[in-house]
Amino acid sequence: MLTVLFDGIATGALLFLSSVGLSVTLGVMNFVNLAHGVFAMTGGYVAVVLLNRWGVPFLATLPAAFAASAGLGVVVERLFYRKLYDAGALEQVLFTTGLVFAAMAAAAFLMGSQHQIIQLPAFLAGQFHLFKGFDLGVYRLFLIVFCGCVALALQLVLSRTRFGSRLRAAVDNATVANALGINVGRLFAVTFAVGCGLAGLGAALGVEILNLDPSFPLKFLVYFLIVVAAGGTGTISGPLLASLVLGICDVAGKYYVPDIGAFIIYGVMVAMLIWRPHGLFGRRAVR
Amino acid sequence: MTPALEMRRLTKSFGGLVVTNNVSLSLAPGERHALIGPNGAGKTTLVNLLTGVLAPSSGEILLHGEHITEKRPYLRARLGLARTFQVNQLFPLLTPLEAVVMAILQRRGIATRWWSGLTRDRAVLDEAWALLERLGLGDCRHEPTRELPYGRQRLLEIALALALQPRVLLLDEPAAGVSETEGRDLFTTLAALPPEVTVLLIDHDMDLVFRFAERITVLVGGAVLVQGPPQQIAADPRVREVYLGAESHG
Amino acid sequence: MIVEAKSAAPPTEDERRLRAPWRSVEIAFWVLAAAAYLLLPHQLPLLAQAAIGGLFALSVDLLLGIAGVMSLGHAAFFGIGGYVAGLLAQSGWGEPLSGLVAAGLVAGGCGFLSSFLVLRGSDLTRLMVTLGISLLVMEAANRMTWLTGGSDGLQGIDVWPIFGVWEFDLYGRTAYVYALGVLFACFLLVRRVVHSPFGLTLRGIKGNPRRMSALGTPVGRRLVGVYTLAAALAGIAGALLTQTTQFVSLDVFGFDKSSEALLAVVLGGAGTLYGAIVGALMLMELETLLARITPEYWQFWIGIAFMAQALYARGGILGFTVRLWTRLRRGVAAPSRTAP
Ligand SMILES: Nc1ncnc2c1ncn2[C@@H]1O[C@H](COP(=O)(O)OP(=O)(O)OP(=O)(O)O)[C@@H](O)[C@H]1O
Ligand SMILES: [Mg+2]
Repeated sequence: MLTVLFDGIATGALLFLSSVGLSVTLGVMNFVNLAHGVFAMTGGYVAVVLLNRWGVPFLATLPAAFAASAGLGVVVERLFYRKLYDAGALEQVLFTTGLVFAAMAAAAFLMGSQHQIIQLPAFLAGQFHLFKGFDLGVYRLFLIVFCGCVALALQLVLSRTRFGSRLRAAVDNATVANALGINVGRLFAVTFAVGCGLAGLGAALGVEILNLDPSFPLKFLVYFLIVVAAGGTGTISGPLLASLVLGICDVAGKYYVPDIGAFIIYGVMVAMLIWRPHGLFGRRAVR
Repeated sequence: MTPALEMRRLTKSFGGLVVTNNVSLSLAPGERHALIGPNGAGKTTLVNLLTGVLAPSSGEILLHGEHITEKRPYLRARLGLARTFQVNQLFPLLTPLEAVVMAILQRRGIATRWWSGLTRDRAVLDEAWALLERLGLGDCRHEPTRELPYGRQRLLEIALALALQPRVLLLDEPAAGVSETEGRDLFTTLAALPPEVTVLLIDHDMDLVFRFAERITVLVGGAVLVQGPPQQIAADPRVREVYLGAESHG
Repeated sequence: MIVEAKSAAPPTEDERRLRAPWRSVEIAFWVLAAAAYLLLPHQLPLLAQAAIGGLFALSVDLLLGIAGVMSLGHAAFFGIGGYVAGLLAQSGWGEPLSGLVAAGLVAGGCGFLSSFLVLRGSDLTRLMVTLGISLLVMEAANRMTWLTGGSDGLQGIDVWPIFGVWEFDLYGRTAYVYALGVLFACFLLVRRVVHSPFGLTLRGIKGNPRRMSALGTPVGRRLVGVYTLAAALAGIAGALLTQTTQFVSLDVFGFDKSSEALLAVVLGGAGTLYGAIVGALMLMELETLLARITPEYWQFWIGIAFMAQALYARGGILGFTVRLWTRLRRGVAAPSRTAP
């Protein structure tokens, strides 16, 4: 029971890292970005290649994964997404769906279609004996602590820095922020890149827990969307809470009622959207 | 006699901001009533409350004695309450002819027919055509709306409301942005409306308002400041101060 | 400009335009489609698939191009139709036409029920709800192995001859005639609907739902209607696929099915009806071609096609052609409006 809870929290922590960036693109920039998983997947594969083929230490692969995903994010945003900000949701759907398909095929071509396996470093491999019948995997503990730190850092950046206050202003009302001399476009570009980087980081950290394979972007699309939908936009705590709940539901569902596992998740998603059809995506509806 | 349209202590607030403040107003059938007030006075909000786009925080709305406060917008339209929008709400890809035909079909209650063509009822077409001619839209009735010049679009905005043959018509700055000649034509058309139609006109052009309206209500800060016949309003010092004084033309 | 003496009645030209009479291009299109039976005898199985894809895309176009409702999960109804037809045939009732009707009814019923969930909120919410529902349906089908055969698909589907006369053959001749016939019948229905008062209302809702309710239209109810119809048509398309291939598997519910139909519609030109069919045909040809060149990674190029379409070819190919055509022959009406 406690183990399930613990695993769920660890999965939720990973989901949080992977999806927090999407709450900005989808919720704030009103861009229907169905390809968020592509950026996450990129980070995951970069970590796998570095670790397994080139023998780079696990911890050193993490910044590389972040950088790779953020870099890809910058390129794609500057080259393509920017052109579609003013287009309808339909064009955005088509483009990002296409990106998902192309990325899945490319990943299968480059990396093969199997699940990736990584060799965790020794210091993450053990168990942490807390009390009788309750052992904590060090790896999962590490994940939780790590993601907790990231969440805290994000919260501090958002509430304490100049960048954070500008972003909050832009989230509140992009037009007004623009009029106040804030370069909203650049602000969003930076945020987008960081969001992609975090997604890559999440996937790199959780290669095995998340079952990294070429279908990753599609598989996790729904999870990401749920986090954004339930967590709302403009805060860190919203997506965090939503991720944890989702992670726990997911793990518990697979553990206790394996027959209807995925059912629960999709059911929860649909129910939630029906419960709050309007208030989910920030203030402005898409066109 | 039951008023055509009656508001009872209508109030609307957005968060802490009270935009409509305890407005009570009643329009007799056939009355030509004008609603004036400075920018941000809450005129459009009042129209949105009346048509059901917004729900009031408190108060009641009656249309010909019937409570409509809770009714959905489309039901109010079916009861004969039509409006025009301050910012055009048109159909960019439809032609004026199609749009007006659509409104007429809706009014006649045959808009759910999916098995017959659009021209089965010749009367619909005749009516649409006559209405477009009346508003001077006859020669551009086949152009997609988005390709029409602004003045024409403005006329179409009004044509759509008239196509409903409303009993109560709410006009939110109908002449805004149209040329002087077009504006004059427009008011000739409005003046020629059947006398039993009740009209609530919002406009900033005092000359037009004073010529058109039998009674005028001045709205300031969401509340009714004063109400009366044009001469009285023109003479009222408070109105001069808050409204006519603020606007340089008067 | 305007001549003083006006006729009291509208010119018959107005009536002609609103009636949207059949134009020669349209007739040519269907004649060509029928002639393909003789002209391309070796392509018939593929063309039958294209006709089915065209019908599915047509249902998406009715929803997206006419009523402006975006769905990422329309394949749910395609799949439901496919399984209804499959299960009927498997359990001993292989009569194809009644199978189609049953599939259409069940899918339409499901569409009607789910429409109340789908048709609320913004585009974005709709996209997610439709996606979520289709995933739910797929997962349900996946779990109900006893009914659907799970990931192996339904085996032993035996479809009887059409009208008890025409047997389905290996060369796809019957299949093509059958699929094209059903497509044509459904197309007639959709065309009728689009140019009816109801259809005009739908186009109005796409253009400006807010104004529509101010005109007295219950927007939600109209959308329930069109969503139900589109679901039924998708179900018929799914049933066609099952009957012509004598097989159905979970693929019919896939996200790629939904999104490819969207692409076909946009590729051909949303809101033009013919665009959906042409787009589906082109997409099918493209996929076959790519699959021949790079059997494993053709999805990559399809993805690229999606992206290019979104970036460069808004309005679609048919939309572009129609615009060009109207420009060339100013004054002659297009069959219906093109997408913005
Ligand atoms: N949805 C809303 N949320 C918050 N405030 C609103 C909203 N709609 C209107 N307001 C505020 O209500 C006030 C009245 O607005 P309204 O548009 O009714 O004025 P108006 O009299 O029509 O002005 P104008 O002459 O410029 O058309 C304004 O201060 C406006 O900012
Ligand atoms: Mg106003």
